[in-house]
Amino acid sequence: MFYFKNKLSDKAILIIMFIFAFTFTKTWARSNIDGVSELMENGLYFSSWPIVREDLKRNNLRSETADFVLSQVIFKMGAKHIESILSDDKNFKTNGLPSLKYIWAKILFKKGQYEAAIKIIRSMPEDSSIRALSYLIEGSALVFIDRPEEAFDIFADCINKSNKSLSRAKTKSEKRILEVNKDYCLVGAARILFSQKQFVSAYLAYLDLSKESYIWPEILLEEAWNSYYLRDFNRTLGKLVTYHAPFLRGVFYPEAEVLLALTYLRMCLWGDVKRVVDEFYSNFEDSFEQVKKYMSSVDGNHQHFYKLAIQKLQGKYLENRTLDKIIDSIVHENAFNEMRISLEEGENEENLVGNNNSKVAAGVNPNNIRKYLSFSLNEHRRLMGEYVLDKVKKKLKELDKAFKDMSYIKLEVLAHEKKKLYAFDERTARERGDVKFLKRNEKQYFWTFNGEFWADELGDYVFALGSECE
Amino acid sequence: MFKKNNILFSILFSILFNTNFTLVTTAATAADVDNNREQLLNVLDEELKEVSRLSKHSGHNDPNILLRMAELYLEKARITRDKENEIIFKSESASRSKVNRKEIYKGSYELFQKAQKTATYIVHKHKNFDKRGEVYYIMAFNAKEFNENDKAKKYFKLAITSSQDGTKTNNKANLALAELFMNDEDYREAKNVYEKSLTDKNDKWWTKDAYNLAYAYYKLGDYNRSISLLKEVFKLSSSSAYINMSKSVLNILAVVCSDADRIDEAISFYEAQKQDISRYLIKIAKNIMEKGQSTKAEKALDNGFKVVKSDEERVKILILYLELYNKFERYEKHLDVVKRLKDYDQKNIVKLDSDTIETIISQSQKMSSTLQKQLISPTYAHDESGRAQRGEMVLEYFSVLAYFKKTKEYEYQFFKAETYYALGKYDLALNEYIKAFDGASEAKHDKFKNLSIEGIISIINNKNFSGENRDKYLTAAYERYLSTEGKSQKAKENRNKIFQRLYNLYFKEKKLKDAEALLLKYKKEFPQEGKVQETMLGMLMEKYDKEKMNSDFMRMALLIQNGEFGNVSEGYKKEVEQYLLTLKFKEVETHHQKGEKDQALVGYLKIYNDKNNTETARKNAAYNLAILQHEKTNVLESYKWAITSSKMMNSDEIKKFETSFTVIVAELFNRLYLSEAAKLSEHIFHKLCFKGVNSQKINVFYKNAILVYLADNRIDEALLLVKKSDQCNIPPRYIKETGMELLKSLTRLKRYDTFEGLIKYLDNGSYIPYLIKAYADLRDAYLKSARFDEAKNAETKMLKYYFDSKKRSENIELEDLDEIAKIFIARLNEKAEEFKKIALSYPEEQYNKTLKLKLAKLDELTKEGNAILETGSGTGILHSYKILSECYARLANEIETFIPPGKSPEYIESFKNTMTKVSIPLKNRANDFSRDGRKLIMDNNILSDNNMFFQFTQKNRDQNHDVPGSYYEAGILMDRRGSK
Repeated sequence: MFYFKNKLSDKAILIIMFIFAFTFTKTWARSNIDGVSELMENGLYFSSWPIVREDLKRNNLRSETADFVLSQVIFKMGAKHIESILSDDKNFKTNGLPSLKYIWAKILFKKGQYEAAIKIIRSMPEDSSIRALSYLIEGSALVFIDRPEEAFDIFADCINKSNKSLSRAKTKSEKRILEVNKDYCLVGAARILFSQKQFVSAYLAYLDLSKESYIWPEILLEEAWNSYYLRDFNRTLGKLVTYHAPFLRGVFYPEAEVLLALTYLRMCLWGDVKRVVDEFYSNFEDSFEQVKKYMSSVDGNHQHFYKLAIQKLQGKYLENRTLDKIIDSIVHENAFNEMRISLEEGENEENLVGNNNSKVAAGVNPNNIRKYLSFSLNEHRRLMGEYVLDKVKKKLKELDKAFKDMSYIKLEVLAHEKKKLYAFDERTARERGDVKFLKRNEKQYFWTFNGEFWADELGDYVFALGSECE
Repeated sequence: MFKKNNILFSILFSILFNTNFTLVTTAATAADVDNNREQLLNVLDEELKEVSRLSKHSGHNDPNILLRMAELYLEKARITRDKENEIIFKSESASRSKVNRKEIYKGSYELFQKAQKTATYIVHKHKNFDKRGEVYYIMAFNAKEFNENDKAKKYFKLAITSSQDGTKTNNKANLALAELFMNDEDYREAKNVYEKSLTDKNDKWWTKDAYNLAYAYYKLGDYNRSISLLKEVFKLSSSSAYINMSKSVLNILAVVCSDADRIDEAISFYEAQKQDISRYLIKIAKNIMEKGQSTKAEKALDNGFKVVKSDEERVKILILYLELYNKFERYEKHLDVVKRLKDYDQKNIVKLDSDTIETIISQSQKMSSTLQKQLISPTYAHDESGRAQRGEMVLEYFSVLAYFKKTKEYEYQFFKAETYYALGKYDLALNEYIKAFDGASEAKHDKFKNLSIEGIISIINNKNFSGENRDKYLTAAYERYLSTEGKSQKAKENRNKIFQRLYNLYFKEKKLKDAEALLLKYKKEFPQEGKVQETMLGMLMEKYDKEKMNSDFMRMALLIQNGEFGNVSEGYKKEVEQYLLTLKFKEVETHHQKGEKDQALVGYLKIYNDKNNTETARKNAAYNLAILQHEKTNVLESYKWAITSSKMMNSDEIKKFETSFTVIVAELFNRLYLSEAAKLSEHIFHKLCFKGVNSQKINVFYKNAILVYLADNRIDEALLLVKKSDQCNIPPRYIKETGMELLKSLTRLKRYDTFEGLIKYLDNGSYIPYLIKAYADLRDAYLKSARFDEAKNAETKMLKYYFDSKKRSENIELEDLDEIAKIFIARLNEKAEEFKKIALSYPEEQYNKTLKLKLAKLDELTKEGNAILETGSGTGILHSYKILSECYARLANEIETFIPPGKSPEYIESFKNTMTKVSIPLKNRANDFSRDGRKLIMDNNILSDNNMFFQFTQKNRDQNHDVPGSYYEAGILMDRRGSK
């Protein structure tokens, strides 16, 4: 692992990297994509990336091999590497390589240019190795432009394609990416149904996602929302309480707490609402303020956030509760895990570079390989740090919003309390929790909750609280 | 990704706008309300905390949140104000004005300020804020809280212009503004606003606002609309979804209907609602009355009266009738209503409350006063029926007033009396005056008491006062009159007359007890009016006697006896006493006369024991008991009753019965009840010992008492009696007798001090010769005590009394003479001694001288002897005879036996012969004395120590007694029979 010993700014690092790159380009002036492909065949993805990068920047990559290489970069290193280059380069819009099209479509999607994104994706050849991934973008874009029926089909194609691609996948990361892609396509249908307020169908569709899926923790929240809209509040509560399982301790969705409060609100369990709200504030308000102040001093410092992530992976508790929770959740996220795995694999290339010089592509100086590897790894770490920072900001926004939401929910409760006080009426206390309030469907069984979280039961917990609304 | 935020938003802002805060409490206690309020405040604090958080998150830049904050401040301020108000209300009303309101309202004030500040900030900072209407609304309400109505209106208007038509803010602002217009009575503006804003019939406050609009319609004269809307409001008020304005509707509908001339409709409505019609009819009637439409009002009330079902409701309507008739001065009808109300109250059909009673009283007073003035005004002077009618009405009013003002009933009775008087109904007037007097007396209200009395007097003195009940009233009137005080001369004269008149009335009415009581009162007030008292007494006693009311008679007689009627004539007193006595003794004496002594005894005893009997009767009874007992020879009983009766008698009475007492005393003495005899005697003596009594027997009692005392050795008691003798005109004889006896006793007891005192007492310087012996004894006592001067004085006294007696040719007792004789004898003895001491001696000259001297002495002796002789005291004379005889004989003997010394026998013989001429007469003289002495003894049976000298100094040849005299120097001769 390479760490910058001195704390240099990102810009400085980029300059250094540029110098390297410049140096490298002089060296690589005459290298070709075949060489890169060979490197990749030898498992040297990170090591070959700088070369690819240069070509990419010069828009030199036009062949199938180039497409293959790019697809490998996507699978092995993550699309971010390419995205970071392409985001500003409009020239690459005209490059017909499917991988680049995929990246470009992703960029357009993120910018909200859904139709453009669809158009690009549809221009991709079906047999493209990256096609499976593009289905997800296409399907999602179709949803956003309100063409759910088409989206259904695309998602179905996505699942098929992902399965096929999975059978051909060689590396762990590639498999992972494809699985995740498949799962997102799978829940895409559920999401469409949800957006169409077909909550029952959406509910059933969500159940198709295996609990072993990498994306299941975040989908659990969607399921909870779905149950909420189904007014199956007890099930909502059950799903939300799953987040308290040790298995999901690293998961932090402020929205889940809000949903929890909202669900209690819907059930007119004012005391529980207030409890959730007060706990939420109690747990995060002060530390949140501290984090906000802290962020002003560390904003932009990707390295710092990369370090925090690594510390968290090593099990260290960050002093600020909120930050600790956020970082912990980030490092448990699928995207970060993918990056982490990629990094691990990238770091393993060191061994490959050291051990097998003969496998190095012709025309490639082995010493330069190490430099390339180092460059790529650093770049990857930077991207990881960037990701973490970006996510921290998002989480903080989420939290901020959650605070507001919680306040509004509490105000709702207070309004009800006030209304009651104004009416000066006494309510009789009712017993809480009764099985009769439980609703089941054919895909679920009922187990009584005995205080333990069983993995196969996760997500299936259902509260048996009676609504106290009158 | 999801639109849940929109949902949240809608949820959250649905609670933001709630400006009508109403704390609705049903049967909650104050503690519940307080608790509830506290909870509300807590909730509001939490809300403010959350909203503050939100605001902070938004950098205090979100006007929605700031608006919410302002609303919360306002809400909290109003609840805090409620709380602060309660603090004021809970404080004592007395201290309420002293409460520092600024301090108490500080909390709410600060909150209002915060709300205002926040709202002001919003409108200044966020000029384009789409909810500025709501902000102005808050500012308007704040201004309303501070009673800045103009400002409130301004802000409400801004709220209206800043919000869209039909929005909640807009509506509410309009309604609030309309309310302000209503408060300012700007009904037109209010109506315009309400009409525009009352669109949402689903709003629970619709009924309240619609009610206001209906009221505005009413005020603007649009009755139809008003009634229609009111009914609708009433209908909707039955639903819990609306604010219940039913009560307000009920209250106002009546008035509106009455103004709209739709009273029947109102009645039907209230009936349909099963409401208390009377209450609303009252409203209607009041409303009409205020407009001066009396007929209409009366009609409304008539209608109401027909319709109402309960007595309570009828009473309420009657009260309204009262107001109506009072206002329009319809006397007859007013009186009728008053009487009806009184009936309700009196018969306990409906008990009138204090306010109603107060109204009745004040109106009745007013009405009666007006009528009274009319009564005496010249207008009705010639209108008898008018006056009579008014008089009757006034009287009825007073009766009512008397009923309702029980504590002042007497005042109204007085007024009634005055009214009757004005109407010439004197008997009724008098009756009322009497009642008024009684009431005023009880209430200690002197003013009315005096006024009533004056009224009574004026009627009494009114010639026109007549009637069958006159006497009855007069009696009561007189009684009241007399119960007052009259200090002036005129008043006293009046009272005197009235006493007598009343007395006569009592007699006429056969009220003897009252008459008696009156008599006693009269006597107390007019003690000097003996004649009147006597007349009254006579009437009464006669009546008692006639009616055989003996005990009453006795009682009165007793009073007379005891001097209670001091100024009645003595003759009358005696007469009464006599009669009383006669009464008492009549029966008993019958027994006595028949010789039924025991019955008589019982009778007399009874009379005596009856303490109610007069003293005289009892006294007589006691006396008679004494006599009877004496007759029955129960000496001691006789004594007891004699004592008893004598104690009760005065001197004259004792004198009257002294003979009887004398007999009793004698019997006591005879039966040797000496002590009793003495006591009784003494007692009677003391009784008789009064100047002017002139008892014949006092001496007897005096002497008996003393003698018995002396016999009983009760010297001191006897002495006391003696000392009292001169006070009691005891004749000197008795005094002397008893004094002497006493002196004797004293002498015997050797109580010479007392003796001396008694003598001094007895010796008043006048002629008391019987004290000679006493003085002699005293002298002897002095001599024994060597009090020679006093002895001398005593002797001088003796001689004085002796010579005085001699001058007066008074007889002197022998023993007194003996005592005097003793004095002389003493002198004689003294002289004799002197004589004896002179011894014949020679020479011849000496002899002659001494012989002459001796002869002279002898002559003195003889004179002395003569003096003694003059006393007549036998023993004295004897003694003088003896001395003289002895002296003569001695001298004779001395001469005979003198032999001149140194002389010859011849001389001596010659001498002797010569001397024999001297001695022999002397001897003869001596013999004469002896012989005279002897004769004296024999003639006078004198027993003295000197008897022996005369009988045995020389042979008494006449008697041939041959008894050696030397054996007995002192002795007497007695023959065997004991005779001398």
